[in-house]
Amino acid sequence: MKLSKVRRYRKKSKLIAALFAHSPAVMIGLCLPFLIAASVSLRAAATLSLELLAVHMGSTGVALLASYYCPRRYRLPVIVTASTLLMVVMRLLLMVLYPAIVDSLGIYIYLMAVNGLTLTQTRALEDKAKPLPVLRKAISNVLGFSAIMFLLSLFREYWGSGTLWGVPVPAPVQLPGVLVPFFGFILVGFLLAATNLINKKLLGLAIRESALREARFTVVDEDVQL
Amino acid sequence: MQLKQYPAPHIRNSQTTRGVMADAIAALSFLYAMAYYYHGPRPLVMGLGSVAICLLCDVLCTVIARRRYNLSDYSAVVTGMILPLMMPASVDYRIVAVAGIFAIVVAKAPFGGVGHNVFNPAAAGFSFAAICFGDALFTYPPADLKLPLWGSIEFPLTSSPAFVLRLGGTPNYDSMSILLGKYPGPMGATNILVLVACLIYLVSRGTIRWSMPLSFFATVGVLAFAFPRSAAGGLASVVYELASGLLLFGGIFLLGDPVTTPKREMSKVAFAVTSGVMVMLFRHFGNMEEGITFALLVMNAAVWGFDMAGEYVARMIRRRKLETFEGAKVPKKV
Repeated sequence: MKLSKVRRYRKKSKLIAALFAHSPAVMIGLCLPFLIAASVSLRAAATLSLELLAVHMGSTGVALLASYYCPRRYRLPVIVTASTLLMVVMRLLLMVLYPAIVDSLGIYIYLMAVNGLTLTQTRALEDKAKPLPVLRKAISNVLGFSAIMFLLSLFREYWGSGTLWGVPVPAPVQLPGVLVPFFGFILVGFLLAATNLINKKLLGLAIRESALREARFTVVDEDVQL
Repeated sequence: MQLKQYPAPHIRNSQTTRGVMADAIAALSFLYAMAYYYHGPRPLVMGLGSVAICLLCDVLCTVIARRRYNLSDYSAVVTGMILPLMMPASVDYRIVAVAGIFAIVVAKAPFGGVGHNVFNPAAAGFSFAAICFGDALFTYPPADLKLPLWGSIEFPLTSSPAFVLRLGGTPNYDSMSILLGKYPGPMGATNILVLVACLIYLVSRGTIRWSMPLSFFATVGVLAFAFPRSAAGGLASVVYELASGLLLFGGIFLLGDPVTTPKREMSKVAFAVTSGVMVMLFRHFGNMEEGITFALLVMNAAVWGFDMAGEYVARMIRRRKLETFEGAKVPKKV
């Protein structure tokens, strides 16, 4: 069976999978507390995404340098120090931009300094790691976290508060229960299920189309031979 | 001798899912009749709407899961009928719809549908609605007040005896009013006489075992006697606790769910006793006046433990019996 269409689908679906279904933010439970408890408004999602971008990319850069110049046993303290300093700087910046949001996020702003995604990905770097693949992976992790965060926040802010980015919008009914953390667990589960379902459907369509194309070419070939 | 081939299981009870659900529907219909008598056609419209929403969600979820919908499965109908009976007759139709959608789409379908759900869907739907719309769900119209089908309710709404007990007071209703349901409360949970009749009907039909509700009510009674919330004293407190809120209704229709409760008889009794303790804890220390649905959800999550313990105890009893009968040591695998 000619699998070119399937291979082409798998290449495209890698991006969707990396953003959603295979995002380490969700699959290994890294950054899950932020997704579940802090995704209650779009502004909170934007604040945390900006903070993660700065902390994660900065820590990854420091980890890359450490992989060249620092003995392995000192890398973790160096990375944590760097991520904490970056968190402090980002918090000061964000306080200027969104003071109310930063106050409402409470401990989650500080927790970003030791978020599981940054610590796991930076600790796993080999000695003298190649910078480009590492930075590409880091940016895709941040994009994945942000995508999931924004999706969840959009749903929860609309149905829970009846607003979008703080602007009141008409909603058929307001459900404050959606803002409670347990509903975040439910939403993350549904998001993963939906992503897996869409991936399977598209893969099935691609396989069927490849099989049909193969069958058509085979019939034509037999006719020509005859 | 003719051999016939059938798929497992080979030892079957005469009961079917359809029969069990049909009995529950019949019992719930009596409660809807009383609700209609007190509040007019609004409860019936709420019930029909809730059933329609639950059925639609169930069918949609079954289609998405690429399974064939079983038309003789009335579980969605039962869930749809139970939900409005746990709410005031004055509640908005949208609240009932939200509860129904949550019950099926979140509490039932993701776990595999009927027969595989971990949590009682009706309890989950009501709990979600209580978190979202606490004020609307715990204020009730006066008994025997005919309510309009559409539009807002102009009449003043009052709190139920459960709220009075929570504040440490004593509900001011005589025994006849309590028996006939002439006090504000959930639509299907105030008619004590009808509820007791439903319990007798379901036990006589074999839909629920008598041991579970009896153990549950006995536990609640003992705890209410030992730790009364009202100033009226032990025995009166037992009556008020059993008659207030959703305790009686939940003990009959929610606790007896065969899917979300343990399988062995002794496990069921242990489950019922623990549920009674949990309900009283929620009533004494919880934020809301009604905690039975939250208590049941917590207990549903622990059913596997009761099943495991029940199997272990049953195995021990079997070994001891065999040892006593044969007078010899029995291998541990038996």
